Amino acid sequence: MWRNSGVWAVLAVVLAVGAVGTGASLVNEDVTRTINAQTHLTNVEAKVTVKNTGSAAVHAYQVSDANIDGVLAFVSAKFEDSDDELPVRDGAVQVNIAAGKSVNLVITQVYTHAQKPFPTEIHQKDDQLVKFTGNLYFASEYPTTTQKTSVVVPGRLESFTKSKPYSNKGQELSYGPYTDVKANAHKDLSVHFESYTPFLTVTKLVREVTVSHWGYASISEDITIVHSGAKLVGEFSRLDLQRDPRAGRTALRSFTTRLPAAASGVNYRDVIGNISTSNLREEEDAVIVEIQPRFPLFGGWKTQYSLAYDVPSGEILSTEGSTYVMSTRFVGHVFDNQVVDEAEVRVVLPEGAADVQVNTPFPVDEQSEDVKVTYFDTTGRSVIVLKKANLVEEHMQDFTVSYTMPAGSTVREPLMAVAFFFALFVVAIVLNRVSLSIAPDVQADKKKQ
Amino acid sequence: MDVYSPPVSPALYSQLAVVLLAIGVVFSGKFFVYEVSQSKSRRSITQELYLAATASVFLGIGIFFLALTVGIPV
Repeated sequence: MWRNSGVWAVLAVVLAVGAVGTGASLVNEDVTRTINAQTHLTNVEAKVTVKNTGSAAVHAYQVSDANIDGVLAFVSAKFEDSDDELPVRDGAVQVNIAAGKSVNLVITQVYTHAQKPFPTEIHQKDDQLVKFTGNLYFASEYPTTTQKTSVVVPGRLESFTKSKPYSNKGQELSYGPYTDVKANAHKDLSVHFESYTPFLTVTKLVREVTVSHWGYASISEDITIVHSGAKLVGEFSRLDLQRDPRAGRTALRSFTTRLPAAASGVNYRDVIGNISTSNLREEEDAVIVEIQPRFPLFGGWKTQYSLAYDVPSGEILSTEGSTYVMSTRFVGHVFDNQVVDEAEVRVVLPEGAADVQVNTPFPVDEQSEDVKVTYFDTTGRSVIVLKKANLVEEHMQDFTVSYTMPAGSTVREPLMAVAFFFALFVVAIVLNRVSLSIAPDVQADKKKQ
Repeated sequence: MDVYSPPVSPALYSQLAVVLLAIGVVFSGKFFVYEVSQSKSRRSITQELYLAATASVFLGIGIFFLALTVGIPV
């Protein structure tokens, strides 16, 4: 028994030393945090002066996801005086801080679904109010010496946490300075305000990139979007929507999608066919589609459409010998400040592709393979399927798929068409030589005699 | 790594489709005229296969470029 308790004591000491060794030597000396709720995304930018008070160098700074109650979609970090991004792995900024030294970091976090409509159901002419909750203090596993927080909202403030010292100027709130806040300290912050920013969420996005060695790669996106603001209850009046500006404040009538500048053959359709209420405009660096759904979207309403276009093969494909590398965006632009709850990216490779390797700039949730059989195929094309949940604009980064194709395999498809026609002619030749008549062939018989 | 360029310029696809299909139709016409105008015993298999092969090369490649022109994914 004594032996057992001795083991536990040793373990406790090891754990305690471990805790001190991992986190206790870093201190946030000064934090200036800005919570921006002007769009339906909640951005938290924290300028942190981190000091290593320990005796050993530290290689990672842990970032907490508890600044705001929502889903943390993206974290990025850089030094205050440089534009180069620092790598972030498993929520830790990879940065070297020597003993006794301090660094100035700028940490940006994007939270989705943090602003919740409150009340959750409104009538057509009602104001739309939303609310977010979070931590009044900079969430960190390190102690913070001094800190300030400012909150920016897009509309009238209904109510907010009043924790001294604070000040309120129009649509801006500032809290602090607060001094000597312990590690992992939490105090509720709640801000309730009016917002008419488009609350639009892509609940499902299926992006299919069909790689072709013959001129064009086709890209299609199947998109389901929902208005994630306060749900519309009571009657909907089209007349009020037309003439009363108050009745259409929460409605979403149209949005703009930016496609690559080389995009051609754009089509916008849904299950019942082409949707003609859209405009296409070519600009220098993008093709712009002004998408107007079949009906204005109110809270809780959803719609589904598909947008397809072609880009020249050279735009996404590069080659060296028999190795090909396809490089394209993981998700495309759907609308500004987009949120994609669930994305499925399918890369359809040419038939015969082998040694497939996928390289993504961020980890994906699921990777699998599929087979698709379409025109001019024999065994089907291999499809790389990548799935990831909770994506924002910062995830519009290029990923690559590399594969090898034997030389000359691009001519297999035209040769298949040639073989098909030749087979038809051979059938014609054979049928023309077979006699299916049951009457005796008089001419042939005469010749024999 | 070089930027990939397709074996035939996409700008030529529609012209190629028209020209190749036209030649293909002419040869298949000749083939069928030969089939019906000559009696069974006087037909030459080499002549038939020659016409069939030429027609199918032009028709096949023509159809392929037609598919590319109209945007069928190949």
